[in-house]
Amino acid sequence: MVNINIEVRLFAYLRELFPSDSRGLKKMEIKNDLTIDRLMDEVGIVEKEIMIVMINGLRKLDYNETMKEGDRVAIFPPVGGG
Amino acid sequence: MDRYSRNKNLISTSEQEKLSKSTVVILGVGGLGGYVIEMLTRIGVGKLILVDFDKFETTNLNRQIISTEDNLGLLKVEEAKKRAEAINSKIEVMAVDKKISHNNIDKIIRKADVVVDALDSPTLKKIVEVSCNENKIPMVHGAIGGWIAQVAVILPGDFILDKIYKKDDLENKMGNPSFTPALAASIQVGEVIKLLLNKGEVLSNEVLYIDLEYNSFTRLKV
Repeated sequence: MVNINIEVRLFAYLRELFPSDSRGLKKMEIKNDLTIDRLMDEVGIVEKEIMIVMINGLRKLDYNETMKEGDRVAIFPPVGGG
Repeated sequence: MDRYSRNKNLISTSEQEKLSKSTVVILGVGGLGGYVIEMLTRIGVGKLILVDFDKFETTNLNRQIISTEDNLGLLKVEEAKKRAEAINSKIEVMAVDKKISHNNIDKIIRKADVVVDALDSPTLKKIVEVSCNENKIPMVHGAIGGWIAQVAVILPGDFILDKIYKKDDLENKMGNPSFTPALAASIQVGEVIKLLLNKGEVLSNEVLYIDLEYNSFTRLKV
């Protein structure tokens, strides 16, 4: 198992999970067997199932997938108001 | 000068004529729907079918452009129809005082060239997506929450709302201010006009996600 570096970008109210001067962007060092699901736990996202997760611009629906060095992860809470 | 003279540099006379023969169904006459109706009325879409079951209440005044202190308690569709007719007597406006469901949606949207989703419920939005697919009508999806505006065009054969809304109901924890509905509605109307006139590029198979608090505009290939 090795450590890898990724970038995590949060949108809307999720940004508050990172320090306020980060503007929702954080570089993280993680284990290469860490899944998307566990990453969201680490970041502090509660309603994981409703989120739109993109890695390098591609939608991820399987949260059991892992990441690789340099991945850019973006997490969006969808909105439904009219 | 005719009422559409200021449209002319972007909408030709024959395109204006095409708009005047077009029908758009607007589902939901709330924050998004009110602005969508306003803009489609002014630009000259010939027939608008407005659908909502609700009445205006005090909490709508912060954002819903058709609501005023004088029409609280009155039906949204009737008030919207009055406003549209006061702006443009050249168009036809139909008010449908109904809550949409699996049972009535096909009939409601049947005559539409484009359907605008200005609803506030993911469950209802998904019902519309299915019906638009079956009836082969393009759907322009819009939604807001707090600083976020979200817009997508769903062409017949595409299904994207299941990928956006994995749970049927979303808790609205972001609020509903005045400016994001107007923004989402403007983008929706731009997409409607492009679809009706077959111009430019529409936002198909992707979601435009705008976070105004940090000025990020992201196109998500969901």
